[in-house]
Amino acid sequence: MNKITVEICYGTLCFVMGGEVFETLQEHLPEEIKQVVTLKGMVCPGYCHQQEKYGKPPFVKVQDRLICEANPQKIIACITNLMKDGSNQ
Amino acid sequence: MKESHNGECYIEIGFSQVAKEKEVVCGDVFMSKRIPEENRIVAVLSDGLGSGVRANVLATLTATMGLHFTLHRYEPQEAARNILSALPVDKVRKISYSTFTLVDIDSELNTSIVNFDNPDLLFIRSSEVIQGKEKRQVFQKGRRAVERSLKYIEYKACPGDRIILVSDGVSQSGIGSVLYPFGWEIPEIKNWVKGILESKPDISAQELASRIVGHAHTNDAFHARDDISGAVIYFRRPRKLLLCTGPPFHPEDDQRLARRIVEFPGQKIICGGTTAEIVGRELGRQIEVHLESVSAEVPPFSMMEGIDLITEGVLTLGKVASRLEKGVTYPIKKNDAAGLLISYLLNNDQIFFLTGTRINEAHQDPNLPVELEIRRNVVQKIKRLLEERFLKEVHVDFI
Repeated sequence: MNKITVEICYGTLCFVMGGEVFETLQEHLPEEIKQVVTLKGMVCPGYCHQQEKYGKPPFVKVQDRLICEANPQKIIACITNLMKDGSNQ
Repeated sequence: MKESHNGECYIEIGFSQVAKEKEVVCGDVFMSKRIPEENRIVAVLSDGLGSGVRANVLATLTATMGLHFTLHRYEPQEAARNILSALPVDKVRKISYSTFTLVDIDSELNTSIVNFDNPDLLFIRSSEVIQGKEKRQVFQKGRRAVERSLKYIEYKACPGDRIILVSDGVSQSGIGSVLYPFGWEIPEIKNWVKGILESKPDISAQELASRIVGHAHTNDAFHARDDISGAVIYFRRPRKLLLCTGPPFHPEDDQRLARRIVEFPGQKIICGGTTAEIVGRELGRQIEVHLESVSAEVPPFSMMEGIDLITEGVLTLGKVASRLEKGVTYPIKKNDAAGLLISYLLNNDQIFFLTGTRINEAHQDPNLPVELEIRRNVVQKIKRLLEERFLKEVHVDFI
C-alpha cells in the first residue's frame, strides 16, 4: 500500500488561523493511520489569496484533496475515507 | 557581550561566570570599556579575596580602579600599589588582597597586559596556542615590603586571534578529582580549547566563554568550589548577515532581490514564505520544510541551497522582537525558528535588513489575530533592540 501524503501549509495565515495545532499532529493520529501517512510541510502555495475559490485557512492537502478550515478531525476523516476507497493503493 | 569596531577588525568580548555554591553574588568581576575617540578597549578581570559579597566588593573596587588607572595610562606598578593600599584589610587574614588582569588594546591591535596573580592568559592564533612576550617585575607594597610580582605581556594581535582570561575558579576546578587531580591546569585548558576550536573555528567569544565556564562547573560536579569566571577577547573580521523579509513592491524587482541574496558576502536568511518562494523560483532551487522544530509559537523553518535559514515572516519576527526585548540567556535556545533566528542575529556584527514593501492582502482582514503586525514596524523594533542592547550595526533597506 502506498503511503498517503499529508501536506500542511505553514504560511502565516494558516498558522494563526489554527494551523499551529498541526505541529503535534503526528502524536494525535490513531496508530493505524500513523502507519500509512507521511507528514510534510508546504511553503504557502497562496490559497489564502483566493479565498472565494478555495475557502478559508488553514489549508491542508491530503493526497490531492485540499481541505480548507482544516482541523485534526477533518484530516483524520479524509484519510479514513481514502483508506476505505482504497484509492491510495 | 560587547563589540566594537577597530578598523577592519572587530573586537568581540564575551564573559561568563558562576558564583561559588551557596553564594548569591560572584567574587570575580569583569569590566570592559571602549573609548571610541581613541579606538581603544580596556578590559579588567579581578578576583576578590574569599567569596560572596565581601569578595565582590573587593573585586569591584579593584576592577573599577584598574580600569580607570589603565584608561589614564598610569604605570602598572603604581596602579597596582594604589589598588592594594586602597583595599580594606581582611579581619581574619590581616591582608588586603585581590588579583587582577588589565588588558589594554589600541587601534593598531597592540595589546599590553598586566597580570597580578591571576592564572596565566591564553593566546590563541588559529587554534594554536602562542606565547606573548613576558616580563616580570617585583614591586614593594607599603612599609611592610611584601614583594609582589607583576607579569607584563606585550603582544601584537592579528585578526582571528583570541585572548582568554580565567579566574582561579576555572584553573582549580575539579581539584582532587580522578580526571584533574591538580585542577584544570592551564595546559589542559589549552588542549581543551584547541579541541573546541578545531570543531568550531569561528565560535563566538560569548559562546567560548560560556563553554569554558560550563566545563569548569562540570569539573566541580556542579558544586562550584570557588567563583568561576572566564572572559574571551576575539579579534575578528566583522560578520555580516542579510535578512530578507517580504516580497518586493514591484514584481519586476524579484530578480534584483534574488541577485542581492546571491551576491551577498555573508550569511543569508529569508523570513517569509512568499519571499522564499520568489527567491526559490528566481534561482530555480527547492524549498524543504523541516518539521522537526517543535513549537506552538512559530511555524517550522525551511531550508534552501545557498540560504542559511528560511522562516515564516511576521509572526516569527514578532516573536524574535519580543524575546529580544525580554532579554536572552546564553547559550541561546535554538529549538524553534525564532530561537534559531535570534542566534544568527546575535552571532553577527553587521546586519542588513532588506524589507519588501508589498502588502499581503490576505493579512488585511480585521478579524485576524493582532499578532500580525506591520512588517516594517517589527523590523524597526528589532533594529532598535539590536543596536541598543546588543551593540550591533544595523542597516535597513526597502525594496
